[in-house]
Amino acid sequence: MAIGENNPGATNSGSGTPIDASLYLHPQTLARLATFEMRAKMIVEGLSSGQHRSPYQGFSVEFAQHRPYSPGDDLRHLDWKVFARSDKLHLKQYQQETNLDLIVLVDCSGSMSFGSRSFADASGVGRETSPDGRAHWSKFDHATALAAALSYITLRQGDRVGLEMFDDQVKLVLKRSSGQETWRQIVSALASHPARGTPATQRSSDLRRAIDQTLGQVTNRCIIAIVSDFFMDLSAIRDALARARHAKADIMAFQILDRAEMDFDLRDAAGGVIFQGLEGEAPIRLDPRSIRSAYLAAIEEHNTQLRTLLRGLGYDHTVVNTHDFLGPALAAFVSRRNAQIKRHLA
Amino acid sequence: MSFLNPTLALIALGCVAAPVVIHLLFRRRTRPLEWGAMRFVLEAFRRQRKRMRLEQFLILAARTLAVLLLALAVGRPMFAGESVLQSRTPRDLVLVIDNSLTSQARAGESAELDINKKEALRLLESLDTARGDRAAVITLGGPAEKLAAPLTTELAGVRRAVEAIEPTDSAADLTGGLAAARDLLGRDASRQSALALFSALRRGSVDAAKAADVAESTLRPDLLVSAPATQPLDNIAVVGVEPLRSVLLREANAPETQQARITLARHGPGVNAAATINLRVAAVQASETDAPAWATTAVRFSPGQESASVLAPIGFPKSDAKKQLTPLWIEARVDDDAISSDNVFRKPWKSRETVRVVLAAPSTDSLGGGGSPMSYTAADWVTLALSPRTGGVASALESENETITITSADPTRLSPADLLSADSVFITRPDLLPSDAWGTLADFARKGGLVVVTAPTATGIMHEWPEPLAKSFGLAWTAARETTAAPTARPIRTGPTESRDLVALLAGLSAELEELAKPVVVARWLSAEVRGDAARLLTLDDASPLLLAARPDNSPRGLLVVLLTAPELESTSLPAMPLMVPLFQEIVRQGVGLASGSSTLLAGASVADPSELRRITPAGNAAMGDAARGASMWRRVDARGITRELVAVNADAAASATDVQSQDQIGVSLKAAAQASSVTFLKPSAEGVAAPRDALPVNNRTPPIDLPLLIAGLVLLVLDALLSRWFSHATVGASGAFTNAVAAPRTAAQPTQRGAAA
Repeated sequence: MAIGENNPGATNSGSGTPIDASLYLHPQTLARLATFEMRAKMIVEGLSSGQHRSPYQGFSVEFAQHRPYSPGDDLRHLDWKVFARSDKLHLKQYQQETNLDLIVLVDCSGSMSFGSRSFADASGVGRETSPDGRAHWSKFDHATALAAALSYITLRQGDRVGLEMFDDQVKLVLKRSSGQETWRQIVSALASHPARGTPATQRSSDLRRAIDQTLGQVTNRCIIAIVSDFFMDLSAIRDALARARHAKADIMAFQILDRAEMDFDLRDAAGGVIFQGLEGEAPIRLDPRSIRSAYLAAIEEHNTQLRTLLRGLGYDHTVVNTHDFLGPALAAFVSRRNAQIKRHLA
Repeated sequence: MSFLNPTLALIALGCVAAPVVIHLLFRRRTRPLEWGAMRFVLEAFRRQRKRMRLEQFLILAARTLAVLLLALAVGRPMFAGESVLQSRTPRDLVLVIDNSLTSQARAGESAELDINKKEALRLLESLDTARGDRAAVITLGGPAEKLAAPLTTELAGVRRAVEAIEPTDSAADLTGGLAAARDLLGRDASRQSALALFSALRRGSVDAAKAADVAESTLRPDLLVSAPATQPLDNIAVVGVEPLRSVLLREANAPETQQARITLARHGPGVNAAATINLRVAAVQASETDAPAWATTAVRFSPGQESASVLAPIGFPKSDAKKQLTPLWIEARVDDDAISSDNVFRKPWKSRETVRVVLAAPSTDSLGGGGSPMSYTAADWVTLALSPRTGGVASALESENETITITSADPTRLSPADLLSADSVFITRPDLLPSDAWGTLADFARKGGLVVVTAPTATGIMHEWPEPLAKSFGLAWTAARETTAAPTARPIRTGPTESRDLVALLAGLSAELEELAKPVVVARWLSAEVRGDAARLLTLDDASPLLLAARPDNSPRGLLVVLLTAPELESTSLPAMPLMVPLFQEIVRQGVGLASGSSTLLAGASVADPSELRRITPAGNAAMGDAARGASMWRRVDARGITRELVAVNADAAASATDVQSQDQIGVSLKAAAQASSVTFLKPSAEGVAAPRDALPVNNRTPPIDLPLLIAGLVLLVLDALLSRWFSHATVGASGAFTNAVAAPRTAAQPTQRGAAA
């Protein structure tokens, strides 16, 4: 695919302002992601029950291309003839008969504008500030990069990708498409959203409502990648996931967290710190050291329950630290997911 | 409850609010921190709220209490039981109050003594009987007097003693007062001692330029001193009255001719200006009820002139001559000024109808009137000089109405009976006196008699009499035992004025004495080397003495006059010269007065036989104590109640100096005089203002801060530090570097991985 090769910038569909996608996704990362495959667990599970068509029918029908072997790939698809000739491992790829639909659901609530990492450190192109003048790398920036990467992988497979952004309601919807401009549209929509660095909305997120609206727009099974900090009530998350489960949608939950939020390692200022909420909470003055243990316990408890909930429903849960690099994390996730699918198939 | 250091306590108590103020100041400076995971912050707060509030309360309480305790420690609280003297130690306070002549000065409505008494009473209020405080009162009016002593806890009595203090006319006895105060204080280490001196500290009371005479002592009390006066006052004092005639004789039937030498002194800023004052002088009779007839004299002071001595006429009452001879005194007055007591000076004035002279000389033929002057003996010439008559010696002796009456006595059998009613004794042949007669003469002199000895000048003999004379009269000198005969007669001169008192003997001749002495020559005389306090009234041309005057045993009473040549023409031309009569007349008239001694005292001086004295003025029946402290007139009576003499007590002009002095000068002087550990000047308190309770210094043994409170405060500070450390959980995340995620995002820890976010 030509994304990022001959046109490193994406165009903001709304204003026409060129958006430099490399701010969020480095070309080298994109090249590495090119070897990944995005597969749907739910479809595999359907095959095993015998009620749905085989998702691998395309593999045996119509050869498409070779690609280098990567750890975790099914050895059955190795082209031994090529190996015999060139002593290199290549997989044979076939044109699938059924395309994968990926809907990336990005949380743009107020809490996603938080970030403690410098923009220059995270963006990768040497810029000190973001195009809107921020010096810090927010969780929404990281969500943007993650969504762009997922979209890239999926689009490169020829599958369709759609984008929705939500806080207490769905703010933006990009219909699923596998077209040439889809990736740019997705990146532009994310990069130009006002919630990326400033708590413009001061709104909390309503995942249940977002899932409802998403499921209402699709008729086929699809993969829904939720990119959020999941700083919301677990009951609401449980309701939303239950509905997605009922609709037999595959959920990939990417929990974006900032290291400062996880460590809560704040120096005490004399007189305490005034914590100002980003989702309309009233400010409060506290000595951070006096509540650190309770804070860490509360966030750990929340994350544990979230992980338990997601895994209990068979969904993936990946914690992404904004201070970590996205490439290795995403590669590990995809590999792990593919390995799980393989184990199910076996 | 009161505070030892109220100002410090107020400041320190204000600091109690410091923790709250600091907290509020830092609250205002804090910038909000935008936080994404706010729900967990709120959840943590909800879980920790009760514990955090308890921790904050404990820390705030510890800090506030610590500051409060430190404030109290610095302020040194005094509770009800501790009273107000800033010390728990019982105190001994000796009030030394200046009631000397200077304290009578009035700078305003009140005399300075009254102000000092009020200040002393205020300070007295600061004492607490319940704690065991004691007080005593000493007055400085000379000689210093212990009014309330020894130290007593009966403070009401001390207060009454202070209120009853009256001014004296004597100078301040600072040395005696401070010594007495130190004696009272003693050396009780369990008590804190302080001296409080209340005086206007004018130069008349305490002269900072003079070093005090003090005895060394290890006692070092605190010395509190009232604020020195700052307003200089003009004051004129009459410091001396000396009549030209020391004895008023009957012949003074023209009393308006009598004069007295009046000495005045002035003090204060007015010294720098010219001034004219009215001086009034009068002779006042003890029995006179009428007002004195004052003779007024204008005395002019030129700028810078501090003292003046003027001859002023004496006003006499219009009464007959006989009445004039009753006991009287000379009184000199100037107009009232800052100190009124020193505006009057009284001087008793002796009056005689006649002066009785005993002439101890052997009878000679020449006294019969037949001899020529060349054969006149010394006794003859003396007789003629004392009672000059044209009829010669015989007529002189027979005269009954003379001012000077002469009685003969046999020198070989001279007895006290011969001298009973005599004012003066003339010895012209001392060589004839028995040895015990010299003792009789000396006793006569010591009782106020005048003894005149003329030396016989017979040559070729050894004179035995000079030695018993010197021994009996307690003289430090004696005459030679051999007569000196000069081949050529030697002229005489007036002697040096080394003794003002005795030189007054010839004061009446002072104007003419030198001229009268010029023609006199001496051919024979007894030489003498004069030592001691003898006055050389006449000398030879080589300054060797010729006419000497001395006090027996240097006492103030009695007078011995020795002429070292015989008043005979063989020895000297004096009998034939004009000097002879006035010389011997003056010796008798003035000598009788001088010999009777001065009955004029300065206030504060000790008085001999005070029980014989009866007060004349001011009216009253008060008895004379050991010392006369107030200006007054007294008469001395014998066992039969007959008046023997008058005694005047005058204000001590040494205390008339009303000049002000600087506090620094006085402080140094007083510290040395009192051997005080510290000198603290009290602030003058206005009427109605509370007592100077904070005036007394802190007990040196008592720390100025409350140690237990200080320790408690420090312990609380340590506790506060521990609590703060504990409650802040500082061991957790001590390396925290992230302070404001929104305003100052943390830099990536791995700059080498820059650019690989995605």
